[in-house]
Amino acid sequence: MSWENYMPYIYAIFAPFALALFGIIYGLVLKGFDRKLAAHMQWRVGPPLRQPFYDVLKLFEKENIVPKNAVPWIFNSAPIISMGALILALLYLPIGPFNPVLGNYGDLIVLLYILALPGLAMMLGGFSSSSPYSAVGAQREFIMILSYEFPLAIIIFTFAWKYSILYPNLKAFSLLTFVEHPLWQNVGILGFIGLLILLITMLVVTTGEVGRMPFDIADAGTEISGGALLEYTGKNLGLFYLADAVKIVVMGTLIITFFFPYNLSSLLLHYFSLPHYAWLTIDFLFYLLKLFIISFVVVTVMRVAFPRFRVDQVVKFYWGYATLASLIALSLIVLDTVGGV
Amino acid sequence: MIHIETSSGYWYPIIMLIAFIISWLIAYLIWRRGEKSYKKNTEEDDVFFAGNPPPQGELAHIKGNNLGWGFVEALDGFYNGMKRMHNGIINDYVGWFIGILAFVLIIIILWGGAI
Amino acid sequence: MVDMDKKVMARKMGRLIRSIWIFNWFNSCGVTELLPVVASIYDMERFGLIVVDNPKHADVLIVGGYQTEKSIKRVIRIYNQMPEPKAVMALGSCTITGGMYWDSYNTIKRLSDYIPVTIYVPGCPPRPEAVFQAVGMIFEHVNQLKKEVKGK
Repeated sequence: MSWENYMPYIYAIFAPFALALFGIIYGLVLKGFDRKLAAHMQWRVGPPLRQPFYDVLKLFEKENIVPKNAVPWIFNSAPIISMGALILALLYLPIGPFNPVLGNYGDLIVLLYILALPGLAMMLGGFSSSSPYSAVGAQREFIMILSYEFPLAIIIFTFAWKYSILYPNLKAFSLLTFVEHPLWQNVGILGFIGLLILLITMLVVTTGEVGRMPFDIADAGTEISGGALLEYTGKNLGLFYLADAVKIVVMGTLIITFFFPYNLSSLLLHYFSLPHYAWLTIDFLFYLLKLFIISFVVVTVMRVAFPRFRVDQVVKFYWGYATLASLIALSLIVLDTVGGV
Repeated sequence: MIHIETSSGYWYPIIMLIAFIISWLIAYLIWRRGEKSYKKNTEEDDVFFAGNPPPQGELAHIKGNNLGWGFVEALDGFYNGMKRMHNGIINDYVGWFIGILAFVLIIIILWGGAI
Repeated sequence: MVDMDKKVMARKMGRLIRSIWIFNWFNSCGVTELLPVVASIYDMERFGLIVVDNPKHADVLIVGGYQTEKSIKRVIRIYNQMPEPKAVMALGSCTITGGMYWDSYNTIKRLSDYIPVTIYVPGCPPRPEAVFQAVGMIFEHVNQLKKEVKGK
């Protein structure tokens, strides 16, 4: 075996550290912006941008209570599973101009399964904590997972189907295909409308996936006082807080990969000439900007504009309207392809 | 390397496992930095129950049928139809069975068994 | 917090005061003036103070107004369920002396007979400015503590 054969193992061992650092720091920065901008929308001043960092530091100083009747190892490992899964998800996603670290070693289906893990970990933690409120919260989390995975799956399969028609030689589920061939130029007017509907559905699904305001039935503060996270204190809660921050980065990157995989460098390359690393920096900053805009739309605007849905309204929303919208988008894209516009 | 590869996707489980272990290790290292003490077997590690003494034994368990409430409530048209079908009369069940069997047979006869 | 080393305590409190999560426990008028503190004019989130859903996540327990014989049991349990380091802020004259209910048969006259109160905020009910003054005093106290530790 040559040196090349060991490269994926080396990537798998060292890349998580860098990506975890990036995900945590930028996730917390996005959380800070979210709180500041939400405060401004409500005519308040809001906390300083580094407030989430303070929150995490404080949470790691607090006592870590494990309830009497809880199952300690499941209770304590739930935040670790959640956080680990999100760091792993970053490995399969393209970060701005950089290709996914493990892009050649796992496709979108793998990513879809990894993304189901944080919710499942939260459920495990809720059920294992022996609190009635947490059990209700965990059950609601389960309902959330069942609800949003359906439209998400339709979106992913629409994309994969379109790519399998457009590029029969490429792997349709590979994220590298997604990044290298944005779909917007390759569809007609019907397909364009379909993609727009898919984008809106994806944004709504993301809000549910990160568990924010209109869809935060799982940890509804005023109904079940914290839900699945109720019994978590100290470092466990701190790790869930971090996982929540990284989740926005992961889901935002997923949206960017699907819908906006454009880089500034390919646009500006004809006007300037800059060294390679400068272009990489510009593209990376552009990626951070895209991520910020998506976080602003998906988290901040949604949570300020809408109050919480009821459980049955969430199910109706995702299984009814979101699924219907994504199916309409799917048929539009199919029509567009078959019609050969 | 062990892997699964089809015409549209691929998966290398061993690399994923290594990456997963490293990711969990990072999460564990972060988790370890926190304070770990608490006052065991005091009121502190009782579960929160709105300031009341926590329920014991069977009362503390939430039944699983709450899980379906959201779905039953949201898709009540569908569920009501299904409930009406399950009326407990054996003749109706056999009728459904024979009807669907006839439907499948007709399809098989029309397409000649090849789809 | 008594058996803690002073240096550790300064570090912990220094981190704590930057993000104070509050759990409100109130069953009377003592808290009415606390609501503007959350809203846009006074906006306590400027200093990292937010209201959380349950005592398990909270750092500060705000007890607003008088407590009755029945509710004090819940206050004590909720206080015990909060993770250390924790503090209690008592709002209103009723928590200090019983206030206008001083001769009632079933109200609690002095809260610190039951739970360790960190700071009392007098008033009937206390104005938002008084709450902020109390918070400022806590900040000042912690800064003093840090200076002491550094001086050594």
